[in-house]
Amino acid sequence: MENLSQHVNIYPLGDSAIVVEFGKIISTEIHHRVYGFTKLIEGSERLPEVECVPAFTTVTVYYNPLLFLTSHSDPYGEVEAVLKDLMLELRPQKVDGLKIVEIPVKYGGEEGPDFEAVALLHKLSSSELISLHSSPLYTVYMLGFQPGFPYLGGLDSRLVTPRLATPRKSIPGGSVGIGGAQTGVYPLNSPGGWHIIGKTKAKLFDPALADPTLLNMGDRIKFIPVECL
Amino acid sequence: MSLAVIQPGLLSTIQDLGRRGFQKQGIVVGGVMDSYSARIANFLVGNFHDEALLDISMIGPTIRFTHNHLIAVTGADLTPLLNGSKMKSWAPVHVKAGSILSFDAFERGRYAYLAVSGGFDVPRVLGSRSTHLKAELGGFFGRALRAGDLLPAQPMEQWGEEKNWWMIFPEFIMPETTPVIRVLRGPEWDLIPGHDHFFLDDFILSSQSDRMGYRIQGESAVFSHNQEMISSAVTYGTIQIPPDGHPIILMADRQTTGGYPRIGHVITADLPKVAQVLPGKKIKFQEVSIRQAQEACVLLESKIKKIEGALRGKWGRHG
Repeated sequence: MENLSQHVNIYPLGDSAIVVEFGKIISTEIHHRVYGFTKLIEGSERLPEVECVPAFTTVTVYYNPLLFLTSHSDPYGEVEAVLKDLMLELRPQKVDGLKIVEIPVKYGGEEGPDFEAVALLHKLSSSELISLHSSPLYTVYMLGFQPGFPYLGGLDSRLVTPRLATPRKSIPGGSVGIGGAQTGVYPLNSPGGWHIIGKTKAKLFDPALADPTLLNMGDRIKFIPVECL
Repeated sequence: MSLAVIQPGLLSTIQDLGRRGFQKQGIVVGGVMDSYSARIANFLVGNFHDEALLDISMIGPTIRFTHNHLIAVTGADLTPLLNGSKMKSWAPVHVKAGSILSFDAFERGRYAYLAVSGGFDVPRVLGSRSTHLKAELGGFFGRALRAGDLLPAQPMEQWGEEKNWWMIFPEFIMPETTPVIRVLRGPEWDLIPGHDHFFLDDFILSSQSDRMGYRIQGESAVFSHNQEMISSAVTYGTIQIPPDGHPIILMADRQTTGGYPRIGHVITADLPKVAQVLPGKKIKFQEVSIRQAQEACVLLESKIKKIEGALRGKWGRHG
């Protein structure tokens, strides 16, 4: 059987969080490990009052060092040891409860100020850019950066675009962007470093709802090009 | 309704110790900028440490108390005045109905805290009373205070005798010399050109610094790079380097994840110190190990516990 603890890095994120890194590339396989390991940690009684944040290749575990004071007074070592034990229980696991969410997007124009620059950079016509961006069925690999902000796997390699050298101070909520090999939607007004190619009216975050985010890790989404919002 | 806002100040928001448990949905922790001063403010008026209070930035509000209250002001010295006369800070203070609290010049530090006995009675949203401005979430209608707001808080029925004790203004808020901030190396330390300057140079806090992040500029060092990273979680005190090479220290309203290389992390024990630095002021970084960082965390917590115990003791005798 394959040893799933191979190629795993564990390192501190400051003095109250620890990162388990499953690799250096974005892949479905690593996504499934991140998903499975998150579930293991959340179900473990050995890690009281921790909070997990799964990402593309990592699970970050926030902990209170005061709750892991052993005789060696080495809280980091203590948490690390528990995580290594849990790693032995990790089995390949598929993400369950998949759903497909359709997100209407108006590409270009005022709502997509970087649309033309991105098309120019990749030597694409407008319709080619729209088609390349809206064809894939993307996987929500993680949420982060803002409430309900999905980081998506599945961007066509022809659309990989470096982030802006200096982040914009304000991007309107609903903006659809590309940053590096990633694409996603900004749920709220915010500063940001991605190239903005369009906008959606879909509400990705609503604190009035019991489940405040439209998307969850593991969901699939499809962008639907529309003429107007 | 008990506190009427006459002037809101520069940026006054209701905060507690933050909104935890939703980071994997991208929901920001937020909360007070200087948790040390905020927790002590709560202890001074007999509250638990995580009660909602007012987080006040640089220019304080003017507030009229419509009822009797027991209050405490801690954190930065923004020269609190009660009915026009200088008011003791870092102390429990009785205010009578009709009294007016205002603030004058800011003398030391950046964030002050106003705690009222019983706390501000705003609803919890996703488990917390903290205001998250960008998401218009929690606190007082998800926003900073405005003139005319009436902040709900439980009036004092009985005060007991006047308290005549106070705490010494803490050294960590704007010390005379350049504050030294202890930092752990970040995961991308090796990828960042010129990283050795990080622990040698002085840095100046930029005016582009807010509840989300403090931008800093090295006196000579610029850490420009073209590294692209796969986004991953960040935390309060994470120091990111965007491609322009000017570091950003992530603060209370930080995003949950980020995609810029992380040169370091301010240790938990020094977060209040960083929060209190004013734009234009200098700071320096000093490298520590994870062991030292966690020892400092334990030490600070035991100090806070001692203060809590001592203050509860005073309440036992006088309260």
